[in-house]
Amino acid sequence: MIDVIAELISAFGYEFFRNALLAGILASTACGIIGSFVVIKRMVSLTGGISHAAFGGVGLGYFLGFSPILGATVFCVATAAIIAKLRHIAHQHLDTLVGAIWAAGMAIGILLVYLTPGFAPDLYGYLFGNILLVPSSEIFFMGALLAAIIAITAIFYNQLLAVTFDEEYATVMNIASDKIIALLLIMTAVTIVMLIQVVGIILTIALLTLPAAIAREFTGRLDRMFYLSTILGIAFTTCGIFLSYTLDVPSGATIILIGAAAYIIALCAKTFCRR
Amino acid sequence: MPQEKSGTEYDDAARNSRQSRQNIASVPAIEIKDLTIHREGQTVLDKVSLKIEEGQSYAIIGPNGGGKTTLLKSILGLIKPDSGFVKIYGESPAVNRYMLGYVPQFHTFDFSYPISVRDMVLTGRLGHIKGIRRRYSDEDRRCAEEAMKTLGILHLADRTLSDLSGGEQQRAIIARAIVGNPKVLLLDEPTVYVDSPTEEKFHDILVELHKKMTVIMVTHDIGVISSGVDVIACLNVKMFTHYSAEITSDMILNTYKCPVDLIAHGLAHRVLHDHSALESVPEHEHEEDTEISDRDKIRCGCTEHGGGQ
Ligand SMILES: Nc1ncnc2c1ncn2[C@@H]1O[C@H](COP(=O)(O)OP(=O)(O)OP(=O)(O)O)[C@@H](O)[C@H]1O
Ligand SMILES: [Mg+2]
Repeated sequence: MIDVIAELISAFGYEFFRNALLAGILASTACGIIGSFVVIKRMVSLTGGISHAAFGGVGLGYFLGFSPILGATVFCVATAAIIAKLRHIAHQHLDTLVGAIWAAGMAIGILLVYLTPGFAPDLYGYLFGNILLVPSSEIFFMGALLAAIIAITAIFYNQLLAVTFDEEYATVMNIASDKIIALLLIMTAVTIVMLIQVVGIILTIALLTLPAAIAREFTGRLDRMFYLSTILGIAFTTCGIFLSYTLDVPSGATIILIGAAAYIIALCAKTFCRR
Repeated sequence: MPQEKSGTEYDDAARNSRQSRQNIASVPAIEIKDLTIHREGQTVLDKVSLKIEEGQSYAIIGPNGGGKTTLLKSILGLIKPDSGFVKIYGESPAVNRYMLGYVPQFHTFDFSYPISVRDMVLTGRLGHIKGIRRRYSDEDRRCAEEAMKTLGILHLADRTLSDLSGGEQQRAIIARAIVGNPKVLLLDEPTVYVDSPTEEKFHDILVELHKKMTVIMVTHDIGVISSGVDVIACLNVKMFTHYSAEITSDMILNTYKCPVDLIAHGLAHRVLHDHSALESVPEHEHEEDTEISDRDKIRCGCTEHGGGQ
């Protein structure tokens, strides 16, 4: 036991470890804000579509020889924009469309990675995340994205609240609901890009929704949901990083399993308290 | 049925009243002309025309799927007309809809949203607020408290909306509609899901609101209709306007195919006899709204006598 603690303390001496913790904190904060909207607006499958479309961008990056994360960013934002434009079509159609984007994004990625000559480095990392490999430059990038998300949410808070609560009424109040929703979707796309670094494409939905879903059980205010789910997200990622470091297991999966366990415990606690 | 037999006396009365009203407000609060809306290849509204003067109260009845909600939403500019137009105080909905308050049909949106009653009611002020941040002023907050007080839910202000009962939620939604001091209030079946004791209070609230603003209400509730509406419009794709005091069950049943529960509630009592001054007026008027002047006749006569009630 003492060995483990000593090992963890010494881990702080490594830059990669500090970076991992920082990346976890930054991504969790973005998740706390955006994940709350995703959970409230039931956009879970939609975010799944956006995050999986990212793999197409990763493949394109490999194939054309630019940064895969840049490709992922372009694909995520483009998908979010398309969905924002088409979301007024009938709901079941939108659902199918999201499914199609989800699968097509993955398919494009697989094909392009296959066609890329040689070995695709870090491919596994994009799919399943490896927070222990986040470079310092990436931390600054994530910090800038997070600052933008916080600023936009603070500025447009009243409008975001009104539009996500009752879009029609917000429109009657002369709020540009379509633009606000588009803004929210783009911020979701940006958050997903941050998350891909931490938990990977496959697991982004989980980190985006689990903390917010737990927070929702315990508060009836949107702003408190932001704070609570941020704290929860930071707890999950930090614990996950420590665990995966000491046990030498994949970090992304560890983080998500901690989150899922917490979610189940929270639901049980809630039902138990109600009795 | 005596239809186009309006006596000259009535015509004169109508004209006088129209002239006197023109001095007060020359533009009607809501004007709709030949509004046609198609959805999924079906005609939902067919050449609907109406003119609602400031201060009038207007009840819209009609069968499910008759297009009542669609009509309200096109007044709000949420649904674009395929032809015809809607004007609010002479301007398009996009320009003037901040003058409207709206109570949507119950449970058309998510009541489980994490929001306090106060914050929810405050969103009704947003139409008046300029600036990119749309921040609420002290005045906005004071108006929100006022509105919640009017609806008797001030003690619930800091509760979460989802923790409220259905009736309390409905009051909160009405508070949101009136918090911006609208000139025209649109209500889509406001008393559905409300129990009878609350319903009584609702009628009182509605009577109070009638005094302050123009009210357009979709309803199946006879209690509401008898709480003093000026015009009853029957909407089933096409619109038929009635002189409120003269609606009879036969009319509803034979001509307009309106919901049967209206008849069961005994609307037939509400006939002409307490309006003896109207003897020269046809027992009831109805028409497909094609000619504006005739509609004006109906409406003017209506407010004149309705006001004397
Ligand atoms: N979003 C939509 N897309 C396509 N058709 C629609 C849509 N909303 C309503 N309709 C159709 O328009 C018609 C009128 O609907 P509307 O909601 O206006 O009726 P209503 O009179 O309000 O009925 P109710 O008494 O049930 O509230 C219906 O036939 C309905 O099927
Ligand atoms: Mg309706």
